[in-house]
Amino acid sequence: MPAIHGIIVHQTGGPTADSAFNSYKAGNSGAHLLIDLDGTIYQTARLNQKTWHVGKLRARCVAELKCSAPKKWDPSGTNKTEMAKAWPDRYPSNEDAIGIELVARFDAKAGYDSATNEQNAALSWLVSELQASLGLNAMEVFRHPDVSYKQSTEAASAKWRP
Amino acid sequence: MTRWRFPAGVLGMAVALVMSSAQALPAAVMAPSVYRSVSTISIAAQSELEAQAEAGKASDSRICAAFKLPPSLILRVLRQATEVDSRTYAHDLDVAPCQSRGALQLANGLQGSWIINMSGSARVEFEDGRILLLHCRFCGKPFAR
Repeated sequence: MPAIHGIIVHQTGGPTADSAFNSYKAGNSGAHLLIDLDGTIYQTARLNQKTWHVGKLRARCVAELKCSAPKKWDPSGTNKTEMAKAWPDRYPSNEDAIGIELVARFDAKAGYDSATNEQNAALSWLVSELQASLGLNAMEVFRHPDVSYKQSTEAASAKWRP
Repeated sequence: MTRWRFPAGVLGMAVALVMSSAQALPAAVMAPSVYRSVSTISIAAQSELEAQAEAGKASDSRICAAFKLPPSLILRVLRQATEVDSRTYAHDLDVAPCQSRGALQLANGLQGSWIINMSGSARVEFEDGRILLLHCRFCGKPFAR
């Protein structure tokens, strides 16, 4: 990634760090950093390495009330439109966002488990360090479902602001 | 609510004969394929706004008006869509603002409920506690990707 413009906060959907690592080894989508339930931080990719963690982008202008919502649900079409824009007219994407995963179980009925206090403490420290060292805009940190079409409970309990 | 009955297939019929005199067995002793032997379905709602859909994220209920699934397609999804793990379902698959939902009965009599999302993902819950998470890769319109 030639430039980094933001951070996307995820939850893994699996109960342990190992379940996430095994998923990455199997060639599935992965992010740059992973925070275990006890707050341990693992780096799983170089920070300037592109990984496939964001998915199809939502229209940022719709969320920011700068354009009208599409008349039909077309995530592929919307993503294509968004990716033709430069940041910050679109959300940070796989091209320019660091992904941080929090280990968390997903229950099909209840959604994602809440982030632990240890995870939130580690996340807050990590985001602060990344922003300082990479010169990132403090506002460009998003929960995964805010920028892509994902479960709304993902990262809902993640906290990174002091 | 309208019910549709479909042939359960040879495998489903064989399992039904073996288990015909028994109540549904605990999830631990039922082969995974049994959960795909759907014999009847019913539709409770079509073109419904998905529970998580929020205003301001293009979740106008008019978007859902065209999402009506014929019974034959519902059955095909429940029987043939790929089963996925919780990480894939939760993290990798998209969530559309529209869904259809209803009930089903397996060839062995076990009952359950289904929700099919316009993105092609589906969740099936059975009365024995088993939950299936599915992804329909072969689904075209009215699904959207």
